Amino acid sequence: MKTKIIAILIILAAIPAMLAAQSNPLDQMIKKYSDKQGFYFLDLKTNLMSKLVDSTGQSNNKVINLKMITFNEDQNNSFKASNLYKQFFNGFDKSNYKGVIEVKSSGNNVEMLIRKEGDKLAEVIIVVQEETEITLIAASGNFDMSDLSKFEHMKSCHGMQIINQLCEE
Amino acid sequence: MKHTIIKTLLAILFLLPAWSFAQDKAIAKIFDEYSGKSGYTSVDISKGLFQLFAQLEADDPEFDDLQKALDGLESLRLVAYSIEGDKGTTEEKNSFVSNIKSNVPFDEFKELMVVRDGDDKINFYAKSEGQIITEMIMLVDGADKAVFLSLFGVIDLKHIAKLGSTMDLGGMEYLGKMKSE
Repeated sequence: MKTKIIAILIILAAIPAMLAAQSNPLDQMIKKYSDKQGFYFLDLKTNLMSKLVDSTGQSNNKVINLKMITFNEDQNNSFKASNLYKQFFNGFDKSNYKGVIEVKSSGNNVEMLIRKEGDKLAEVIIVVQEETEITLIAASGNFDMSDLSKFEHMKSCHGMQIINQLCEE
Repeated sequence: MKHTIIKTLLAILFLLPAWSFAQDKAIAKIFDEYSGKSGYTSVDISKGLFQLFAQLEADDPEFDDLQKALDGLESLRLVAYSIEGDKGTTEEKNSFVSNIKSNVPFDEFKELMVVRDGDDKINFYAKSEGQIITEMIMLVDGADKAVFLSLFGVIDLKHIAKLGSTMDLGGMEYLGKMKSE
């Protein structure tokens, strides 16, 4: 009986951690700007993802929660792409992440940050900054680069080319 | 006598990290100065990304070569300047090259090879510890572009040229000119 109670307590204690693992750094921004003009969103639900990521038709238990925001100033000049960059990183503890690639060219910046849990990736953040446009991509879950490369099904989606390029390279 | 040798060895051991640090500082200074500057392209890749690629599995011999090239790399940094149409000037390109030549301690490197490809002069330099190459520099001085590439880590020359043809980053293609001897 005592063992059962302990087991239940452990499960109850683990639930918030399990729920937290499913959260995504872009959740707040998606909520905030969901009805604003000039923003483009991509929010992939895990049940849909499991079907998309596996081209072989075999079951895939890995959960990747992928979200993306693209904002273009040309479509809504009441926001600045550079401010969204600052806003995203203000509510974000960069010390938990490792910057793995940074490319700067003619005012365009591409940055990729990762957070690992053991050998697996827990989060991948990709920021693509152009003069008047910003794309923020966040993938969270428990995966590796092979899993991320399976997003090739979606390479025609706006902003997703960067993931394919990184995986191809 | 034995005491003096031990003292000298200890002094060298303590000095080694300081020397490499000073060298890295000089190279880091170049990157900091030109990264994000108008007309320049900079790339900074750290070990974390190389480790991620090392985990990928593929039945492609070319990809195997790339993985071998990435295996052991600690960092890759590149700064490139190009003159395209009315963008960029020869003066700026020359100033970039001369800044590199006067600040990077090339005398601490061994010149591996010089390649002349049309107007481009490509110099490869390396620093080794015994048989292991721990640092490599590539400097391209062309008529309309200049590229400075720095690689740190355990560098396998047999496979490093593969990086140039695989990574689609401006300036990396020159790495393909590197031929293993």
